[in-house]
Amino acid sequence: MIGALGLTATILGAAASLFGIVAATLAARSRWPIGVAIGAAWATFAALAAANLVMVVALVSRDFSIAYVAQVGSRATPLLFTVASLWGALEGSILFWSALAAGVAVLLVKRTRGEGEHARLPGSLAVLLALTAFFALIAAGPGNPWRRVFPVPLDGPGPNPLLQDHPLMALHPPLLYLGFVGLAVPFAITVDALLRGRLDDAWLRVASRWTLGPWILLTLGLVAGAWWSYAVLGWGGYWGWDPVENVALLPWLTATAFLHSAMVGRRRGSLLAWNVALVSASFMLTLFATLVTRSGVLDSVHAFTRSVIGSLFVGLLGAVLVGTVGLLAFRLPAAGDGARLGARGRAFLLNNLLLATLAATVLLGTVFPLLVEAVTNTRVSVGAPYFERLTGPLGIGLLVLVGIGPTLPWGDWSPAARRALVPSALAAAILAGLLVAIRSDPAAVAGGAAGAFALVQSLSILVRRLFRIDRPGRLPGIRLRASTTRAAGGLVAHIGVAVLAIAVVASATGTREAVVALRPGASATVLGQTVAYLGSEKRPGPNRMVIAARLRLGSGAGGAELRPALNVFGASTQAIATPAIVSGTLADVYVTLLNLDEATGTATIRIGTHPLVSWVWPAGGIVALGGLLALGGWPYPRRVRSEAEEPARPAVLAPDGGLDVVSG
Amino acid sequence: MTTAVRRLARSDALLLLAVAVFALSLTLALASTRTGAPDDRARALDGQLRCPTCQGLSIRDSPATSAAQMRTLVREQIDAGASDEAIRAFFVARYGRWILLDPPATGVDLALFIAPAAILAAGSILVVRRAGARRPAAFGPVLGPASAGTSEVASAGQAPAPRRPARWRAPGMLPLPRLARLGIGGAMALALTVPIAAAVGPRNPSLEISGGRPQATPSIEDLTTLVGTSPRDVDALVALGDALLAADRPSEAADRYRQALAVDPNRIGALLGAGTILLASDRPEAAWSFFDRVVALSPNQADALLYRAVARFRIDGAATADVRRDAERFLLVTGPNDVRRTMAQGLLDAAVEGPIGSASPGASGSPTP
Repeated sequence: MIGALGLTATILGAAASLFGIVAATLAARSRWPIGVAIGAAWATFAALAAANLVMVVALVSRDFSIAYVAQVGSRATPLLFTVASLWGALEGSILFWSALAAGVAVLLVKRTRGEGEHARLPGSLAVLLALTAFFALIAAGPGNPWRRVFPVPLDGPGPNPLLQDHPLMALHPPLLYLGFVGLAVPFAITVDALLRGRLDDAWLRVASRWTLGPWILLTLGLVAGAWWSYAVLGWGGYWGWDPVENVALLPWLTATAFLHSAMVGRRRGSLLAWNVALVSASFMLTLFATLVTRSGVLDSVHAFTRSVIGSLFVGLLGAVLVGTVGLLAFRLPAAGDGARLGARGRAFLLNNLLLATLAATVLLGTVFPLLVEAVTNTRVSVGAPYFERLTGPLGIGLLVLVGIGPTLPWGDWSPAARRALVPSALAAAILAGLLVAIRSDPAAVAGGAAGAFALVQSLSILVRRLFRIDRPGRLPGIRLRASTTRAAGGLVAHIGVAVLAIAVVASATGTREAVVALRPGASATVLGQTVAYLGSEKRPGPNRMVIAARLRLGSGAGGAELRPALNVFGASTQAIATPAIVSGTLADVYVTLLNLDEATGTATIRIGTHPLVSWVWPAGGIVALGGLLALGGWPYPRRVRSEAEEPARPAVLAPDGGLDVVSG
Repeated sequence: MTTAVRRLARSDALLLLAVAVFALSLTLALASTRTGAPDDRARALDGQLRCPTCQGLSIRDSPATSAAQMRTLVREQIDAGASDEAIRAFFVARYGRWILLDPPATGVDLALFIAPAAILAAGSILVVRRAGARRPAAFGPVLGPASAGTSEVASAGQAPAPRRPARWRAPGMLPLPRLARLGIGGAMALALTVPIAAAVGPRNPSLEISGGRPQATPSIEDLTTLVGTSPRDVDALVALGDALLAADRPSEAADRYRQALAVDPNRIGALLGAGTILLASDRPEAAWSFFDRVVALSPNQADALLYRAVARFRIDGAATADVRRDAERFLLVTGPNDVRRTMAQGLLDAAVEGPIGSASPGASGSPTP
């Protein structure tokens, strides 16, 4: 009954989106008013949102007669994770995707104002509705989650136990999905601009603003995933270079590259093809990420199932690729590239080169095992050591650019720009010396120094800019105009990146671990930490059995009681370790229960010290905050200014163009 | 004094000094790289070896028993004086290249290192050419040949010039550069499509059926040698049994599974293998007890659930409630593309049509899993 309701809503959504494509195309040819297409977009969104709501109701009411509920639901699963299982498996996430895609189409309609901007709507809307139709049709056909199960099971297996252990798991996937779907908007705008032959400055501004929002969500989603991995998986790390992590990182890398190269384009009116390529690549990589995450193409923790839906995705990817390449070949203005770049422009170019190489390397390492298996039928692995070895040097290069780039003038490289680097370069050199003195390894010396350079440099530019120290003759004081806030956003994001880099380098090179087996009542001192094993306990949780060891870390009043645990979930034999973490400013102590011998009571525990890990999450937050500041009055300044009103920026004339990062 | 300091700050001496100090530090760090305390070596090696029973984790990071055993092996060999290279080779001989998370820069894997370097090199050339372009050009939104002559200062304040009209127009004659662009684009598209197609192309069917047992399958000869040297190595025994079974030599396979079970009576791979052989040789009761043990150890083991249902069906000659329950459970835990779904469905259909009175869902009395 409820299944029929959901399926009807899904089919209605698919039909409305198909009609919307036709209406938008006709509107583009000025045959129909755009209002029809806008109405279709709203109808699509309403129908698909209703379908998702019906699925949530089915999940919460545990209606196991619906295939998807029988597949992911379970009576023992708490409410939060029951709702979150909407996107926990393939069919549900496609349904969720379809509503999100319709949602961004509606958002684009809502946020498009002004004469010039309205011209974008028909084309972009057609692209977004086509994407929505793709997902809605899968949800209504091959990936139908509403199929009836007979006989009705009394209970289901519940979601993957790994995914029902931490509230962050309810946050991480929707953040990433929103980021993925959001990146369809700049792509749609770009396709429209290519079709209309209007790859101009306004296009770049709008596309980069619509990239910034998804980029922030992707940043937060990636950090939430890393944090979850650290807090739940119990292996002591937060980034395992797992294929599913890699494919989520890829669109972030290309979107970051686009946010930077768009600034060159807007300043210099150049790099058109490259900007189009970056926008398209980001969008295609989000499709690739969805395919990989949910179809189980790659063996990994996150990949649950295998399905025919994969081939449909490959078809879509191929169509997008061929379409974009064709559009680029035929519609790109023949001239227009070739403006002089200046020092800052060259730094942006280098930044793009490094980010693109980084993305290509991660993509290659991720798909390489599949390539080799397809060709030679042998299985190979490409894991963390490879990625660390290759991305490390590229990352260090990027950090140096983070430091140097914003100091550079848009014109020629000047002695003033060079002098501005002295304090941070000295700070980095001193840190490098100190790191050598404490016998750190080369990776820590190079990475730490590069991170320190980027951090000190970004901080000093931000402070000088905010307090107008660089403008002699003016009164010092904080200036908080919208343009300054937006410009400062880029620097804040750079500060976040630098802090993140330092924390990553420290935790990657400075982690120490030891394994001890303790009988009840015994204690041991490892890695400078005294651990006493007080005893074990076994208690039933809502959907699991929890076996915990009670430990005392440290002695006297300063000691803390820890309870690392093993969770055994009802229908699963996979025991999941919940680590106990004592977070500190300088280092975390990370305790995992590896085994608890029921007969003797002996607990095998692993103790690790992880320097600066607790800085990783706030640093990710700072990066996202920088994005938010840069976003300013998203997606356009509140007062819609026409091109003529836009104050001209004679940036070429100013020796120090300041730091108009994503200022509009 | 202050003027001297100011002059120093103004020159590039400090910047050069900083770079020199940094270079010196890095050289010192590289020179004093630890020659390898056993702990550090073990930790580094553990990070390069893949845990055979996990998904993409190294044995350093995995809590699995097999990872712990491998860590012990690594440590033993380090203490016995083996080189890192020898230890890696030991594991490659056992599991194949698959066990190395850090690909060696040889053979096919060389591509992993050449490709990024090539991209970086080609990109650098493009960047240098582009950055060196000294063509005077327009600033801001004004693009195209119409603005090529305007000076930067003059155009800075101008409103954007309208772009040439190019709406929904089919391309006329193809100028050569566009053909070239299309060619390059097509090559790029191909280069991108091939890996993606490979990613979703048909997978090795034997992996599909066995529930994705991840190990590379070394030859029967290699495994026999390995079992000869370490007869209590359960992994090797089960692998050999599987290989023999695949080569249609069930009686020898049965012996190997029996040997494995003598060492570890709860080894799921051996239990499944032995059960399958018994089922194939028409001894469903004996087979049932093996599958039953697997289900007791791992309630969601798809193979065991299905084969336990099949064995029970053969014993009882009808689809009883037990058969139905196992078949339903199998359908829940297995993937949507598992070819054996029809088999389980057949068992369920037999239950509906059969003489058993428990066909109605309410009366099936399926106990909570």
